[in-house]
Amino acid sequence: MGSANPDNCVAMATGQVRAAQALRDDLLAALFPHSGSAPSELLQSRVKLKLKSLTLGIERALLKSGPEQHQSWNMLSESGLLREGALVDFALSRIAEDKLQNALQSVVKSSVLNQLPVVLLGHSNERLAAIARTLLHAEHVAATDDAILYHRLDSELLHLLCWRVVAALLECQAADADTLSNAANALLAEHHNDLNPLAIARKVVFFLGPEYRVSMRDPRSSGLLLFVAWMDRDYDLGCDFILRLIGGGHVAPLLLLLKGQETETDTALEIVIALRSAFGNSDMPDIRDAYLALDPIEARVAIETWRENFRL
Amino acid sequence: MNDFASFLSVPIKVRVSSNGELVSADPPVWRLHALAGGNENGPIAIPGLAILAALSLRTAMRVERPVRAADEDNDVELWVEATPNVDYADLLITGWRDIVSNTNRSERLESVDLSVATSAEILIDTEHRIVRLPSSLPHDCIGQHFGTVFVVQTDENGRIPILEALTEKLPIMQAPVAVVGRSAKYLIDLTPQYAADSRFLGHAGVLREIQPLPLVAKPAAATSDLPMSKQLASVLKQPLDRIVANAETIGSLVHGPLRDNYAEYALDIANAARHLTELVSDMEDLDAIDRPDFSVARDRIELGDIARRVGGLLALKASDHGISLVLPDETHAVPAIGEFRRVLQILLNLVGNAVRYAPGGSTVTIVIEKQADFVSICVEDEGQGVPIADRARVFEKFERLGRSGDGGSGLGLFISRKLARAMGGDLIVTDATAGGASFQLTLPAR
Repeated sequence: MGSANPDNCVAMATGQVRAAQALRDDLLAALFPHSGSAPSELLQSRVKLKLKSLTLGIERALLKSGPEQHQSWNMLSESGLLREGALVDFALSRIAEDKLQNALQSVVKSSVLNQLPVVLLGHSNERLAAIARTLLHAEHVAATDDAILYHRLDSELLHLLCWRVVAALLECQAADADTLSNAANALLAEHHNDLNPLAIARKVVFFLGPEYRVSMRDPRSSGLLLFVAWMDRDYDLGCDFILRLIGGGHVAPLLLLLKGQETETDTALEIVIALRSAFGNSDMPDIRDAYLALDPIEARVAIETWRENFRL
Repeated sequence: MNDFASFLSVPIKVRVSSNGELVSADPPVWRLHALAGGNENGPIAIPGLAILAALSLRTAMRVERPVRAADEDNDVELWVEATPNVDYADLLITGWRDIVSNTNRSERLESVDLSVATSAEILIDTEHRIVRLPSSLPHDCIGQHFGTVFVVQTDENGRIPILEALTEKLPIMQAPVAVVGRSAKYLIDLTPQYAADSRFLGHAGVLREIQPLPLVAKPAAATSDLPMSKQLASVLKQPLDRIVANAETIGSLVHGPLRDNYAEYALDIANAARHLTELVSDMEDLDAIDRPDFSVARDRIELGDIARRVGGLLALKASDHGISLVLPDETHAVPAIGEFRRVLQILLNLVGNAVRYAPGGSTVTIVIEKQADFVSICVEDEGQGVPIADRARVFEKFERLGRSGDGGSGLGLFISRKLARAMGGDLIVTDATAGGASFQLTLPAR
C-alpha cells in the first residue's frame, strides 16, 4: 500500500464510493419497486441485452473496425451512466415490440404481403411509395441487425448516449480524444430517420389519405408499426409508450385504446388474440364482456388522463 | 377527425439563427409567424419550430418530425426536417396538414369549460385564442390569437416568456403587455385551468391597466393605503412563481434527460418555492381578514360541486401519500350561501391538512349535509385526531401543535375559521367516526 500510486488509489476509492451508492440504489429498487412488482430476471436480462446492443453498436461505429470485445460496457454500467430512465424505457419498448411482432407474425404469416406497407409500394404518389419502401427496408434491417439499434433512439437520447460512450472509451484509452470526437460528430451528423422504422411509420401515417383509415386500425392489415403510429397520431401518447402499454401486463389498456377508436367488438377481440398470443379462446368471453362494458367516451377520457399524467 | 396531409410540391424553407431569430422564411411560415405575434427580425414565434431548430443546433443532428402550429381558425401540422449549420438551422417543411376540429370556432369558444374561473376577466383557450376579454377592449379581439392582440416582451435571450408559458401550461404572473394599437400598458396574470378529468382547458386570469405616473407627486397615503403584506406579496409572488415554473420544467425533464438526483433537486426547489408562495398568500389573507373593510360575497354555491373540485385538485397529492379520497357522488347536491373561492380555499386547506397528516393507506372522507337553516361539510380523516384540550388552540395564529418541517405555516386553520365566520358560518373540530379528526364547516343554507 505504501508504494501504491496515489492517483490509482483515489480512482479506486472513487469507484468504490460509486459502487456503494449504486448498490444502495439497486437494492432500493429491488426491495421497493415503483411498479408494484419487481422485474423478473428474464426481463432484467433482456433489458441488459438491449442496452449492451445499443452501446456496443455505438462503440463499433466510433472505433470503426473495433475489437469484438465490448470495451465501454463495464465502465458505463458501473458508473451508473446507463441508469437513465429514458434508456430503460427505450429497451422496454423494443422488448415489447419484439414480443408483439412475434405474436403478430405467427398469426398473419404469409398475408404480410397484403399488409399496408407492401400495398403502398404501388401507390400512385411516388413520394408515398418511396416512404413505404424506406419503411420496409428499415423494418428489415432492424429485425436482422441489432448492431444498429442505436439508429432507433431519438436524437436527444442518441446524442446523450453517444457522448457517454465516448467518455467511457476515453477512460478505457480505447482511442485518442480527437479521433473519438471526430467519429462521434460524424456519427451524429449522419444520423437520420431512414433506419428508424417507427419514425418512418409516423411519416407514412402523416401523409396517408383517409381511404386507409380502416386498414390502419387493424394491425393485421397495417402491420404493427403503422398500427402503433396511427394510435399515436390519434391519442398523442408516443409510439414507444403505446408499445409498452399494449405489449405487456394486463390487456385492459389495449381494450381501452381500441374502444376509444370505436373498433367493432369482434374485430377488437381478433386484434387482442393477434397481439397477445397468451390469450386463448377460453379467455375471450371475459374479455368480450369487459370490452362491451366500456364506453368509447369514457375510454377517451381515461386515455387523455394517461396522456396528461403518465407520459414522460 | 383531422384531415390528412399533402406533400408540398415545393417544400417551404425556413432559417432560424442560433439565438432563435427568424432569419428568413417562405410566405406560408411568415404568415403563421405573424399570426402568432412574431415580427421581422424577431424571435420565431412558432414554438414547435423554435424547439426543433434549437434541438437540431444543440445536438448538431438532423431531426425530422411533425410540428403543430396555430393558424387562424384551426391548427396546422407540418412535417419538418431540421438541418444544423454553424450559426443557424435550416428547416424544410415537406408536408402540411390542416387540422379541422369537429366544431367551428364559435362553437369551440362556447364549449370551453372555464366555469371554474367565473370571475376571470380574460380567458384563453388551449390554442392561445382569446375567449373572453374585459369589456373595455374591442370585441373583435375575441377569437384572435393572443400574440396578435397583445404586444408581448422578449427577454434578454430573445425569447417570449408569455408565449412559452402558454404553450407549456405554466402560470403567468404580472407580466407586462400592451394591446396592439393602444397606448395603455397592462399587467396580466394567467393561471392554467384544468377540468375535473384533468383535461387542460386553457388559461384564465386578469388584466390590470397600469396607471401612468401623475405629473404631480401622489399623496403619501395613496401608496401606504396598501397593507405591507399586500405590497410584499405583489413583489414576492412573481419571482416565486418563476422559480416554481422553472424548477418544475427542469424536474419534469421536458428539455431532455437529467440525472435522477438533479431532477429531484429541481422538484425540491419547486416545493420549497411553492411553500413560500403559500406563506405569502397566507400573510396576505391574514391582513385582509383583519381589515375593517373586509367582506365576502354571498354567492349561491353548491357544496357537492365544490367538494368534488377539491377532490380533483388534490387527487394526485392524495395518491402520492397513499390516501383514498371519498367524495360526495354527483347526485348529492347541497345548496348554500357563501363566497365560492373562499369556501374552496377553506376546503383545500382542510383536505390538504388531512392528506398531509393522515397515515398512508387511510381514507379521507368529505361528507355534506343539509340541516334546518344551515349546511355542513365535514372533512374526516383516520389520523390521530385532535385532543379535546387542543381543539381551541388549533385555530390560533401560528399554532402547529408541536409539528414542524412539514411545509405548514400554522395560519391555514386560523384563516379558514375567520373566513367561515365572515360568511355567517363556523369551523369546528370534533372526533371523526373512524377515530381521526373531523373538521366541520357550517354555512347558511339557501
